[in-house]
Amino acid sequence: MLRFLLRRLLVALLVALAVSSISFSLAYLSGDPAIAIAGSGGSAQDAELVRQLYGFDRPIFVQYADWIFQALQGNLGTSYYFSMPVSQIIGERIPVTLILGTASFAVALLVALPLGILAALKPNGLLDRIALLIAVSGQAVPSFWLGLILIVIFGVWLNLVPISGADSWSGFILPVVVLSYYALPALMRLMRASMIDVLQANYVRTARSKGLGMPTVILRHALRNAVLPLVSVAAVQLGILLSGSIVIESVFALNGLGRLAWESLLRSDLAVVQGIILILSLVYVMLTTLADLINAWLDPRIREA
Amino acid sequence: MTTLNTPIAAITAISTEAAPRRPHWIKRCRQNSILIGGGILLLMTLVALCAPLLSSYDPTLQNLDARYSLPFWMEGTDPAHLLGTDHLGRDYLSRLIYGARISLGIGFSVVLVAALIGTSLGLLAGYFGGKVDMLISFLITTRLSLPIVLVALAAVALRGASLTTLVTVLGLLVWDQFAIVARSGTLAIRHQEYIRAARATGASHLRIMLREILPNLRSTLIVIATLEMANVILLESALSFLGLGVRPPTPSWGLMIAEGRDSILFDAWLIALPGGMLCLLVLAVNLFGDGLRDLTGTEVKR
Amino acid sequence: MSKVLEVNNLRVDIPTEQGTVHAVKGISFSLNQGETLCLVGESGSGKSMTALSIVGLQTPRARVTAERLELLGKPLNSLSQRQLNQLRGKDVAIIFQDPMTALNPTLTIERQMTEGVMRHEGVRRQDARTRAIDLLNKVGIPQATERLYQYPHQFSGGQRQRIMIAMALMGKPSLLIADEPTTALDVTIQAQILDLIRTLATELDFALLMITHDFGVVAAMADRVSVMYGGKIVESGPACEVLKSPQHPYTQGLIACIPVPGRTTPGSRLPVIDHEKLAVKELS
Repeated sequence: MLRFLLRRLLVALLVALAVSSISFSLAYLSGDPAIAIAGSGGSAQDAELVRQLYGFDRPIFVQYADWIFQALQGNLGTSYYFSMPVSQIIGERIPVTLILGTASFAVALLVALPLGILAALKPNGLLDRIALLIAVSGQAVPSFWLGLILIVIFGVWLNLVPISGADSWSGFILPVVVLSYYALPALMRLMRASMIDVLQANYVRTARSKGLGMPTVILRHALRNAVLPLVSVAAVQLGILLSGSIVIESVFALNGLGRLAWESLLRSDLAVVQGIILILSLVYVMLTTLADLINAWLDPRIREA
Repeated sequence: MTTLNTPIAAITAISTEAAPRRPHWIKRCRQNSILIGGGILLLMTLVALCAPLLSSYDPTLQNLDARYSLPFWMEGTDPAHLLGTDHLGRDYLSRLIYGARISLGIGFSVVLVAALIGTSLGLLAGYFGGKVDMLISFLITTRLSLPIVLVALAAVALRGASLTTLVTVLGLLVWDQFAIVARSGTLAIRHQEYIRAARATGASHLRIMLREILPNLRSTLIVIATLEMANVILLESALSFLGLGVRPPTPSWGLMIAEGRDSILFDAWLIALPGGMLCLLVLAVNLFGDGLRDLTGTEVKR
Repeated sequence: MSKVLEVNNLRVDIPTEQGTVHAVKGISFSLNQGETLCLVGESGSGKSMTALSIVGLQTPRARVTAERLELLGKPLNSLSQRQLNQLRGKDVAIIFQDPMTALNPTLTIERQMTEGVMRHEGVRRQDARTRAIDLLNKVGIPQATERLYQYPHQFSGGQRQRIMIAMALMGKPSLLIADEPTTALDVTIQAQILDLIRTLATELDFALLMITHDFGVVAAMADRVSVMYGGKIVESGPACEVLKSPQHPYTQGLIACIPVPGRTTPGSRLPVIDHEKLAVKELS
């Protein structure tokens, strides 16, 4: 177990390092970050000034080492737009994204798991068809468009919920509905497929031969094995929800990380964009590592390895 | 289950579960989803290819006198514009038709780029194993850790939005599924006898990978390509919606939704139409892909 | 001797796309307390289907009908699912072919062994545990007290089959069905497991229905034997008689297939069963 843990953490660390270098080098995609920051209206002198101010005139490895070193201490640089530390801005905006992401994730799981299990119990039954319909449509509808349509229906026509902003909890209803609907198909389809697989396993037959009732067989014997493949996919989905809420945040005018990233991009506030990409990637790495640990806890075979 | 005239009255059934007619259903569903999905897809491709023949207007031609003309099912519609005009007086039908070109074109080219990158990496990782595999698996993990929408947005914003940039950036970001599938597929067959036999006859590594292994992965890769294409179409529309994908005045459905957003309170049809087209296209591609997957029996997680 | 199992005219039909497959075509047999009956046949002969349908574990699609199907006088084919559950794991227990997949990989041996009796007899976990340790000792799992809390993957294949046997005996069943319990095991382990089952059958005096394709197993275990071919019983009788003078050509073929040291010439071909000839005979 300890060896497994250490190896997993080492990989996570390496991935984090690679991700950080990618988010760092994003600034150089435009060729010269100084010109990008100075903007199209900026003169050569402006650019030179920015270059010196931000240290872009130093060798790139020195810049990267410096950035990493600072990032380790929680310093992600300074936003030129807000003239504030990036970490502070991110800290102010992250709660909205976290609430939105985790709430949508919870809703998606609460619907996907029972529906997937029930669909698996009677393949091609009525419930299975309904589940399939939900999954197929959920995979086809662009979430930003669904958001807009729901705003029109529930916000404008029916006037039930606020159409933008998150001043009260009701502002979260529509975004959570849209995001959870987006995450639902993958989770439900996997739950269903995995459950169908497990129900055909020999150990389920053994459990039935012991005279256990179907609820016990399903909950104690089948479910525990069926959720194993789901854990890592669920972690990925949560990561996608946290980082993919960018479109939804802009549709519903929620002041989260995604909207901040988008706005910062439009005003070439690179330090903020880099910081957000780094944070989101690290969250993702943490989530997948956590998923592996949960899997090890659920599955004794991994624990031993 | 008991025949009435049976001499043995005691015959009863133990299993009360009726025999499910599952095989028929599945077969029919598969065929249906391939037929429906493929049909819509074919139709849309034809529309996209024949766009100039089908539309009587230039999709970028502005006519400020004819702004917000209503579609045919509403009152006060202008018969010259079947589906009305947008806020700049451009013919909406023409824009929708040309929009299919963008969605399908970008979807197809991105998948092509991604398939090339992903399959090569996956083949190399699976075939050589060891350190090569470790390195490529690490690349895959790293790629998966990146928030894809955000990185794509940043890259497009910084490189300047052009169709080439968009295709390159997306292609560089969505190869992961191809790599994962090609890798596991190669791992599964690389120790089989016919691979060894090919090796024994002096075939080069490259030749074995391309001639012996790749054909075995074909059906799986085609399924992945279809399903990824649906993803890419959605991704492009999201980027365009955020103003960092296809540049105006090029008609992209995502962009049209963004432009229609300002008049959402009065003219909801302006976003309903392009969104509906997006749904239809993605649905068709997904149905086609799902059907293919079931038909070829490939195991693809989604 | 009391009758434990009575099977009369058992049929199993499986509807498929290409029409109904008659897996078992009306077979009859019975088993007394302490007696061992071997059902012998090759794969596809319907012997496993017979075993599974007795306890209601056949594939969901299969239709099972029987004139009589009684366990300890209780008609299995007219019981509700609930009543059937009360019999399973208590009056009748079953051991499966592949011990590697028959145990749940995510639950401890303790959990899997005790859950049945705790449900059936309402015994406390502590008592169920004591019984489990007793049985594990009996089937030859050393250090049972500690190993009880381990998971299936920590045991070898032979040990897992021993655990399956112990688990099956938790409810003190009157009938034990063993569906090819040694087929998936190493040859050296096979003999040990067979020996174990035989010893336990004698000691605990349960009726044993043994499903096998191997006349070696029949010779080692059976009081009586029924030979199945194409969903029917083609020959049955006391094991020693059938082994000594098989009447049905299929039985003769099966027995002739076994190489015998000293009698079979090394390097010579073993006899092959000619199914076409048998099919013609079946029809006539």
